[in-house]
Amino acid sequence: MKEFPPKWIVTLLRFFFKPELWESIEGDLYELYSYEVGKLGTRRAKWRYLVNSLAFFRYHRLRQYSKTRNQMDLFKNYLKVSIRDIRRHRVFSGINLFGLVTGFTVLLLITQYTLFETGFDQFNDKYDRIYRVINDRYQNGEQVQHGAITYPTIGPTLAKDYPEIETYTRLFIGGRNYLHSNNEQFLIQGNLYADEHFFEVFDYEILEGSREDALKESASIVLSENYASRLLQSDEQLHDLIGREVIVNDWDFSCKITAIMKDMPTQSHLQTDVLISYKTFIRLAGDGADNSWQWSDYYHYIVLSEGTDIVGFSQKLEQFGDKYFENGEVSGAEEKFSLQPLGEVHLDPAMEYEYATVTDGQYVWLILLVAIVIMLIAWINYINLTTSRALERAKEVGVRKALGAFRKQIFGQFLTESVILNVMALLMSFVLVVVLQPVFSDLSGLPLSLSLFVTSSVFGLPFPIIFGLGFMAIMVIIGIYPARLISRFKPQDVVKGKYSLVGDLVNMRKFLVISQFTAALILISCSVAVYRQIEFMRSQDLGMDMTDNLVLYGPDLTDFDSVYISRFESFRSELMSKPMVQSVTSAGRLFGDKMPRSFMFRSSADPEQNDITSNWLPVDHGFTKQFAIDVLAGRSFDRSDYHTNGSRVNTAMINEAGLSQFGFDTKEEAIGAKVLMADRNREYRIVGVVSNFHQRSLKENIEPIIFFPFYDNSHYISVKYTSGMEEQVIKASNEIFTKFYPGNYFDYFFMEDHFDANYQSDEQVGMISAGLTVIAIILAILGLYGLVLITLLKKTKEVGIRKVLGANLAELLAQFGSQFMLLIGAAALLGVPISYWIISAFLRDYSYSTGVEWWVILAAAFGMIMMCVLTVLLQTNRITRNNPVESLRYE
Amino acid sequence: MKGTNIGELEELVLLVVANLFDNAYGIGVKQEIEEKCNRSITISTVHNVLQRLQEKDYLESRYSDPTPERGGKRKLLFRVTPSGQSALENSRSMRESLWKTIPKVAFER
Repeated sequence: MKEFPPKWIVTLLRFFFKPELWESIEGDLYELYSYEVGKLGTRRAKWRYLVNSLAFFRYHRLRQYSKTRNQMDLFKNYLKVSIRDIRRHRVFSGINLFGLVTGFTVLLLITQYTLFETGFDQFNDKYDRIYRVINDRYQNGEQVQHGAITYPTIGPTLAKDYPEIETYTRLFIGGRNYLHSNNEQFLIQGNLYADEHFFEVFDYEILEGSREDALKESASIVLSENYASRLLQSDEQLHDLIGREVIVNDWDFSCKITAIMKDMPTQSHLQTDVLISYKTFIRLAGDGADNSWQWSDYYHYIVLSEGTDIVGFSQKLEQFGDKYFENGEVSGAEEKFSLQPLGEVHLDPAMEYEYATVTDGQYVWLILLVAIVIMLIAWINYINLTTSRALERAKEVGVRKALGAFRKQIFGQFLTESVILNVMALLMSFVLVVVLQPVFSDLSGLPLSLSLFVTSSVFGLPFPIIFGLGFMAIMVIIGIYPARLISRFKPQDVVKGKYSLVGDLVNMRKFLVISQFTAALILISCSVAVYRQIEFMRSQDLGMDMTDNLVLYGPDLTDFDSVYISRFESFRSELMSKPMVQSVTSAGRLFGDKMPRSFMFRSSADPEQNDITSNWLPVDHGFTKQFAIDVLAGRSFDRSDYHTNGSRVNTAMINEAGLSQFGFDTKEEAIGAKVLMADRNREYRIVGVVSNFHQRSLKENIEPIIFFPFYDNSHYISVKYTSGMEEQVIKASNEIFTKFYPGNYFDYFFMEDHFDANYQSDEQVGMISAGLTVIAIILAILGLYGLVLITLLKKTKEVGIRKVLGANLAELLAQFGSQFMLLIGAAALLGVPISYWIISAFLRDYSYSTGVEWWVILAAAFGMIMMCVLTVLLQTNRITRNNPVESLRYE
Repeated sequence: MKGTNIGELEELVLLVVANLFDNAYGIGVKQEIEEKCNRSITISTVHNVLQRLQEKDYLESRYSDPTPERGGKRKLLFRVTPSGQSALENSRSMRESLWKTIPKVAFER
């Protein structure tokens, strides 16, 4: 067991309490603790220990650190002087306060977002020990897949081979289903088939029923609280559902509700309302779901026993793939298995066949970084403005010192000032955060809540503590610099008027201004680049036309029988008889979706019969025409290609990108050639070659696709309509769909929205970064404004004299503005290459990108310089237009 | 006048300290009060009262030998002083004289 009590509590107590009390207090607390451990358990006893020690805080127990009471009075004086100073210099205090409040507000809101995104799955007790097994596949030395799916045998075999694995769970992702209970039908958006260890690995809370047995037997169902409550008849409670028989889809057996779980937390990467036991799935799909080395759509999570060396274990795991898959003999590809920590699942967008809700972790950290940059800009403003005005305070310091103040006390005074301003800003931003919270939550489209601040933990410590410590540390750091500087003035020099700013201060200020504007420039050019890239992807020709397509879910409750195809044909022709409907087609996947993929294609053009990896897509004969995809050679599918018995279908089409993959030199060569699906032992004759199109977003390359003329009751039905007739087409589709497929749910969406979902995270990041950029620029310019103002105020007399001696506006500008312009110029010089580097790194992720556009960066630099020139110009102009007589009277 | 009167909790603690005689320290007093009087009291409150009583000179304290169950810390043991004793007796006789002078009819229903 770890040492108890923790050192920090003891240190805290000793710091605050009189030494003569230490022994009896600590002794009593410890005795009470060891007594309560037995009674309440370690966790609660520890908590009580903390509460009890805090209860000891009384005034009479506190140590008196200072010898005199004078300290308090002095402190009051500091406060008074600080507040007077803040009030006297409203402009500067305003800039400071505005900057700090904005900085804190932005930082807090973004921190909330970061906490939300990085805190996924932490509710699991074994969070640090849970890993998902992921699978890389190679063919001919090339990686063909990096995915989250593995074979159903992997889990049990791993557990057998490696004693480090404490337990594991195996999942299969179910599609849309229907649950029938009490003659009512309920839609299941997507269920999970999970084995009996599921609730051992994950800590989803069970409300009713037994946790251990919930998924043990075949035909067991666990429902979420929300879903289950929809099943309730009036005057039924949740626990009445336990043991109830329900039917899923058209299965010829009934299932039993074994448990009700609490709705999965929003911060869970798995999201479902319905869990069905894995044995049910084996019963439905066959023994292959239990023991196949080729079926490959299964997800595995393992729990390593405590203290397992993850690096060593990962090394051991490298042998696993070769041992069981014999270099591709078994599954058609070389298999490598590795582990993905549970904490990374939500933040890794690179995984193929991902089921989890995922965001790009890089973006999350990037946005946090931008928020921190904004905070830094605000703090730099504070430091610059404070130190620049140090001379004004020199006299005060001189007088204080002459009256006997120590340097330490002066230091303390100015540190107090920075603390006051920062705390004030923080409190104001707390209010702002509470006000802006709903707006921000709306903007980001995430279920954020303020409670995240309290419940989250960072590095194993509660967030409020981390934040408090961080805040205090930073406050001291940024307070120290001005305080040190000001407290250094010597009274004898001050009285003689012989004080000036030391060289390193001026250098420091230059450095800070340069870094401020470098950061601003980088932000501007990067957000413009992100915007340009998104625009570019949007405006690209995708090689197909998906506009004005209404998508209906397939009639998956209607049997796929010998009349299915002819019924679909009549459905299609009836729908097409409506004036606003131009054409109707059905396909297995939509644009924007990942396609199914096989590793075991073979081609008649390849004499060695190597395995070939390719996507495949079931479509019907309307596909190419409806989406304006060109047939380059041969023909498109026609009605003769179909058969309700899928094994009698024997034709296929291929896209241009697939030609070389399958060993064809020309399009014409492909026509009439055969492709073979080795694992199903079926041959297909290629009848057509179609032009390339972007199946997925422009982040991806165009991949090889083989098209098959299959129908299925689960295929999406796309309805091309005349633009602007959305309402009518929905109404007509609903009518005809319900007429042909009674008992099915009519549900629809638009193809373009579906496709655009691929760009959603980019747009989100684009929006947020644009907003943050504007804020950063405003703050930086405000800081510059303040700095120019101070400099010119100090030189009011000089300006006056110069004017009297005949200087004109341009000369004055050159005299006073040039030093600032030099700094901004330096920032531009620095910022341009850094922006270039960042933008090119960002664009590397995109297969189709604008390329780094120099003009964007240069325009950003130019824009920034112009804004600064304007700021300096306006300020200088104001002062130089004053009557020199007044200027000379100044002070 | 401060020091001549004792509060209800103070009196209770004083009595408990007298009862415990040679084992009257923070935790001991706390547990005794919880057991005998059936009321819960936090350890910090016990310390407060003990300290106040010591300031009023009703209690005196000394340290015991270090004990392992206290993490090697000594106990601060308390003992009732003669003036503490007389304060207790005062309070008791005052109560008894008040009890004696209650007219019988006062409690009749």
